[in-house]
Amino acid sequence: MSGPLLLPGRRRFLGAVGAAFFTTPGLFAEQLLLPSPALTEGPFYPDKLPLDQDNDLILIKDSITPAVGTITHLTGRVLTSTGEPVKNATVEIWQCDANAVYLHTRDSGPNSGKQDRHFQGFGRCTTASSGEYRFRTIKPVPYPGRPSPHIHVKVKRGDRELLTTQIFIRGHEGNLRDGVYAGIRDLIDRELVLADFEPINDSKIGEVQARFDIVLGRTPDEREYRPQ
Amino acid sequence: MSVSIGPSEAAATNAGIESLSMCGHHEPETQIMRQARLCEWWHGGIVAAACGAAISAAGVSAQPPPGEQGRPSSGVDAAVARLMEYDADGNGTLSGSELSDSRLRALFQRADRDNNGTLTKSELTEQLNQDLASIPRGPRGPGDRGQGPGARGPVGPQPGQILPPFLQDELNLTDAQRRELRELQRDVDARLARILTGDQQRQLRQMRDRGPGGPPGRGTGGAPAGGRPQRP
Repeated sequence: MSGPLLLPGRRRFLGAVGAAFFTTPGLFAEQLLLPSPALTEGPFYPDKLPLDQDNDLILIKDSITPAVGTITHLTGRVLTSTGEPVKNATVEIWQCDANAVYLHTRDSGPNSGKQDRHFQGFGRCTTASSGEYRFRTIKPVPYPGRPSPHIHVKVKRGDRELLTTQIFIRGHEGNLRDGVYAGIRDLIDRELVLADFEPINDSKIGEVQARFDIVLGRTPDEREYRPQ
Repeated sequence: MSVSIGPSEAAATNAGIESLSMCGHHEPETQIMRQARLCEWWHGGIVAAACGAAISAAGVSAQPPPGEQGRPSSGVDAAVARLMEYDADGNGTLSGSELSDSRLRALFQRADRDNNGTLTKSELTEQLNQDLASIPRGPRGPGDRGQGPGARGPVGPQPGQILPPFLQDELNLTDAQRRELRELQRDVDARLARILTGDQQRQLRQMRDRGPGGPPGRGTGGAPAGGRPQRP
């Protein structure tokens, strides 16, 4: 081929030059992953961060009393759209407790009688070199006005926020009644915010695990693909 | 005809204008069309009460401006097209290795009716249509059943809102009824303002109208970033 290729996207580029290039090893082998959709932060990102901000939301500091709720092991990777791991990113999660109270003065103030004081409400984790993050938290429950249980997630690098979104339970009947979930116009995006909360077979206390990969549309040091 | 705009709408409009200027939309337009566009951007095509009331007052239906969204009107077609971009060998079907994203495996398996490890366009289309059709009915259900997410999606009732726009549509309110409803809403807003303290009103406004928490932008290949009502 001759001349510079100014086509904006890999797929259109591929379409234009035809099948021969599919055989070029390595060059177009990887596909761009669909970026995780951004969703509203909501009003309850903690206004006062808890003293304990680790990735275990079930136990606060040296307490031996766990939070109420179904223990959930939430893991996943943060990736770029080319599938590369994003390391040293901060992943934060926050959610309401088993009694549907958020760790936020506007919610826990009026609802202090119901609040589960043993639930950390907010957690933070730094991704490993594999891009992996992990949390131990409770399975989310519905909240008044939000029929769909969800976990809020925020990905940052330093102070810079890269993505804010929410994790929903695949198959939960509340999803399609929920203003945020059902408000996601793109049907594929709706798939991308779902996670399976599957029972852990060996667990005697009914723990579940959930896997949720996060794909960033842009990362601070990702080089944009440019056709040669 | 003057449009009365409450403090919540004004806050939404102002915040929205600041955010929009970052997106580089500068074409000249009327105040009404700007409000419609701000609301559409904010709420991803869902018209929330604050915007809906102001726009209905002006007699403008809250459609996104033409050309704003370049995708086909049916959500299913758009979704199928999006996935078929992964058809690397161009044979019209998707194999497991073409659609290898683990996050889409559940959809793949659900849609693969004949269980042969490849997805045809028709299998995909049928599955997505089926997913849409399973939207439940009932008072909290969305107003746009069967139209898919390309049309305005559902929105839950906002605090202090008498009848959200999708319900007004569902009930097929006449223009006269909508006018009277707007006046009723204004009365309710005014009385509520006398009942609540200044702080409480501010809190309520923040809950309704706060803009995106993360970086604004058109989003990447999907829903607009941050364009959602403020739901916990």
